Amino acid sequence: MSDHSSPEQLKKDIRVYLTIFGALLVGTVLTVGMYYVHLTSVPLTIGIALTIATVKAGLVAGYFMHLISEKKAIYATLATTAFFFVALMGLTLWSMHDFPFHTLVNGK
Amino acid sequence: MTGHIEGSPRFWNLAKVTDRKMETIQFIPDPPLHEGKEAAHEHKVHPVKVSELAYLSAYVPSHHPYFAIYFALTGLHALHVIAGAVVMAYLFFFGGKMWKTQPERLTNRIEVAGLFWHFVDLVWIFLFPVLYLL
Repeated sequence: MSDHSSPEQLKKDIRVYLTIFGALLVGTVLTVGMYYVHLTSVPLTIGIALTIATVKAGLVAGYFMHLISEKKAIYATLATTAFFFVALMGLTLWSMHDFPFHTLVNGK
Repeated sequence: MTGHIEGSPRFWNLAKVTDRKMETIQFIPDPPLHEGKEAAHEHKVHPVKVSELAYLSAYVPSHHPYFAIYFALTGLHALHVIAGAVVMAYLFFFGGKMWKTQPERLTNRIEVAGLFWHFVDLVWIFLFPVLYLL
């Protein structure tokens, strides 16, 4: 984890972090700005908002959490996490089909 | 009909209102909408007898599954933020001593604290638009 970096490398790293910070700020402005643009399509609104969020998450994980320069074992662990995340979300969607929507909506 | 209740009814429910021996609650209906805008200020107070209430609930977790999920998500996130802040405050105020004796271990701790902090950050990146903007 603690590789010995030279002062020049450190300066370079700080510049990268500041650039990522700027990009994240732009992403936040975009996310909040979306609130003022009223799109008629709900799936499109959700899609755009989550796409911006995913890009921001990618930047944080990739650079702030050093994922972009990691070893193979870390990626394997991450793949396992991704698999179980998708599986859990899938279970949620699956259980939604078990809900008797047409028999009980707000008690009516 | 929508409106608001006079006072600070943040945690009111039927049992609490009855316990306080309140006889009426003051309900102020929203003015009727006129072409999408509220009509001139007609904030009339309508006293409602507590004995006539069938159901009363504030926006507490038990009000609706939405609020249960909302408070579970935000509350758990707040706990993570507090935990991260405590760890970073500890390293900031008491880490200096370790820097003199075991700098390698200290930088490792800071690295791990940073990883945890950015994980909490990552969660908020998704929570914020999902809860407050969509």
